[in-house]
Amino acid sequence: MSERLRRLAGVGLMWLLGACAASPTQSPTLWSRLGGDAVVRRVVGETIDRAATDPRTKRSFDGVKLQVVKDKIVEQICSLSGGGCKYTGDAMDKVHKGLRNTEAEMNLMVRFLRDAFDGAGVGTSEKNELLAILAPMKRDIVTQ
Amino acid sequence: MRLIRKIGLAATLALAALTVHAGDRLPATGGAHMIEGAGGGGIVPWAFIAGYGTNRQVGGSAFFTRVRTEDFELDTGGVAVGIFDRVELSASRQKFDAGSVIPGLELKTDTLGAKARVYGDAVYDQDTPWPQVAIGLLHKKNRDMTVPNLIGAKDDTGTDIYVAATKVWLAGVGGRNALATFVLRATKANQFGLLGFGGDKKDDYSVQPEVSAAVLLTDNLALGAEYRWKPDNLSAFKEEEAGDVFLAWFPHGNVALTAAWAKLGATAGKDSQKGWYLSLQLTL
Repeated sequence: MSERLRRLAGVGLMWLLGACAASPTQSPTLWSRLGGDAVVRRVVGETIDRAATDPRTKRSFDGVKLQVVKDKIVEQICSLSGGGCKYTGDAMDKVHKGLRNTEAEMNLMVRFLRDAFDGAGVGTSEKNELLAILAPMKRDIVTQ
Repeated sequence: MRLIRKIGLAATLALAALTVHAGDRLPATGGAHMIEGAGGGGIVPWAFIAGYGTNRQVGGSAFFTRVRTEDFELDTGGVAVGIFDRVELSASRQKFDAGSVIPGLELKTDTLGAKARVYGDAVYDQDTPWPQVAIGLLHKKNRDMTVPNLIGAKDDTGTDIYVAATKVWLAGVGGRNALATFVLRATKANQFGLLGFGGDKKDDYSVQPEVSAAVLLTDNLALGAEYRWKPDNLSAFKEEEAGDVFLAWFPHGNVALTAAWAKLGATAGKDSQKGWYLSLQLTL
């Protein structure tokens, strides 16, 4: 009986493996798990609007076309999270050149972004995975 | 003693002045305070600098901790100042109620700490495997050596020297942010210095490992565990490793509450001490 069970289990396992090989299940991209264009656009919009009005961070946005900034960030996040976009903006160090951004400003931006993701109901895992991708940009953004 | 009080007062004033503008590091990255006053977990120092000050800000924190086991109670409190996210200075006092060993016996230490961050950025360096590294000193003075001397302790003062490496993995464990710290500490302390330094069995420095790991269940709730090896210098009172499992809650950026279940092992002649650890901390 147990021999038969073992054989059955073996056949079942092979069938499962075969099924997996035949139709590989594609794991959804981070971009789609974040909620895609609609959610990311809303989150980035809120983050930039808040940063552009908060007295602690607004100086970097004075005289800047906010819509362009938002579009480029959405495009960049889409590109980095498997959404299939091509980032057409400048490199991070070039974008922030001369702004002399501080660590405090950087951390505040991260906080605003986290708050916006939480507000949009994006999952902890998705939020953290994106932050892990964005974090090393600090080296190009913070210059003092 | 007077020196410690002065430093404590200065640090408190510095903290008060800072309330005007608290630091802008990310919430929870100030960590908690270990019982010896350095920024870290409960019994293991971390490579983070206490407080929320960035590289251009001064931050700080104050804490009070109570540990209660079957036979003992330890109260510890202190303050720390973090300067430019580079240097941490701390002053703390430990009071150990050992009335279960000798009625009325209280063992006390004063501890001054200094820590310097020497490498890395634990939070933002997500594309490298390297941790943030800090080196530190904890200079301790036992205030009444009568009993420690009787059981063979050699000195009333001692200085621990440690290297702490801390790494954060964003989305590291099941999508949650995770953190781990590894410490090597050279020490002669008997029970954190509460039973003096050096002993009849051994009167030399020994290097002891310590580990601490935590997972941030949410951005303001951390679940973790720590383990710390310690020397065993006194033949009269066996000393063992200490460990704990903790839950640290940051209900507000500037307030942290830590509750832990701690295992202190054999302590001052009593077997396997286990109990609760509660800590309140204010961080700027």
